[in-house]
Amino acid sequence: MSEFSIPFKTRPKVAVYLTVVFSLILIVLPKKVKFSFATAVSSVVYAPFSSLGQSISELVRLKKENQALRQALVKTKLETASLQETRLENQRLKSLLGLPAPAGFTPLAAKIIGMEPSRRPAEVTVNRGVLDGVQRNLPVVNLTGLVGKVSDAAPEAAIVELLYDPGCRVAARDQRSRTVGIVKWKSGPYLSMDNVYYQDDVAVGDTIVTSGLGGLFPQGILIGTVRAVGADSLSTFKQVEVEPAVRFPAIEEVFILLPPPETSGQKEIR
Amino acid sequence: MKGLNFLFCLFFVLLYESLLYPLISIAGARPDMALIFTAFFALSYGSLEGLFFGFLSGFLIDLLTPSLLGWGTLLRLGLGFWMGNFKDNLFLENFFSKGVIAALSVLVFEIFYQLIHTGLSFAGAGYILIRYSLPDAFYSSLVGFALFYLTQKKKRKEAAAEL
Repeated sequence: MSEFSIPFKTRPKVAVYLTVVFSLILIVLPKKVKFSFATAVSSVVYAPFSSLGQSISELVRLKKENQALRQALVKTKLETASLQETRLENQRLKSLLGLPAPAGFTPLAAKIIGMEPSRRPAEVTVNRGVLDGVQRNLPVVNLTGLVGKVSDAAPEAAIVELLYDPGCRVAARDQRSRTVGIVKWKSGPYLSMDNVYYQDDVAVGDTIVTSGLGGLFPQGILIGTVRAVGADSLSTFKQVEVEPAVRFPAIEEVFILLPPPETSGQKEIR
Repeated sequence: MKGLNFLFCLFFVLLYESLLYPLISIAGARPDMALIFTAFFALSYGSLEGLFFGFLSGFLIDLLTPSLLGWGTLLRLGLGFWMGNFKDNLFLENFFSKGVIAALSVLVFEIFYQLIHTGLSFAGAGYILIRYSLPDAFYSSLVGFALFYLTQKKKRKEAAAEL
């Protein structure tokens, strides 16, 4: 690369005179000419820089705006999710209000506040307790069917033993054939209806409801549907597999069926 | 290398005057980069280089204030030429002295420029000098010290490498 050389290096006086004269000419130019000259030259010289500056400030502004919009979007999304959740809860509660309670029982709405984090929970905790009139062994239902029974009650909460609890047994009946049995969980994803004699009529697709014979659950509450019937000629009983009507991992609200107050009165009379 | 430096510094002056100066101004005070670079060229290469850089940078800056077109050019080229006379002074091997020369040139430039700007009103120019020019000169001297210190350090390294 050739070395940069200053003009008039050998004759510095000429350089001084020329630059001074040029400056003086600029000074003595009429104001109007000065303006038009400066505007014309600066629009060429400074144009790239000013457009660069504008682009940078625009970028900065857009970045800030983008950040603010993202924040607003996240906030709106959260609000929407919360509203959606509230709407769904409202729908569920509304439908629960229309739940036909068995005769004599008063349904007490309860929210589930604790559940085992498993695919097949065996018990849940609800936000109603002794102070609300909840006591042990009260039946618990939701809109789709039988959920279980209260196994323990504290003043402000209660534990509900679900149908999947190995200790939970429900006196049941085949709604079509009126065959009775005991529904309980043995293993696997389904319930089992025991004590169904070999010659009893139970078919796949039959609806199984509570029989009311055990004394704990009122009759007619939906338990589930017969999924499979096993008939072993050597056995006295049939193996009946029942698919529960309630989707246990998804329940959020339940109804505890409080016994009618007169029941206790009648008991006392007896 | 000198030519590249010359062009780069001119480009930087344009960039600084149009975009960068708000970023480094402190309470209205800002370093006069054009004069600092003029001082650099004058004290590093000589009067003619100082004159040319002062002339070109002054002209480019004057375009932004058309009413004073020519005055800044004249003052800067004069100062560039004047500073170049100190080039061969051994005392100026010290970066501190170079920074002082740069600060002095900023101060001289500001005095004359503000007097012209205010139509030779000493009261008006006095206020501007105290409020803006002195802080500008001080700030410029700090930046000048830094620039001259760095260039001196680089020169010494290069000299040591040659040996």
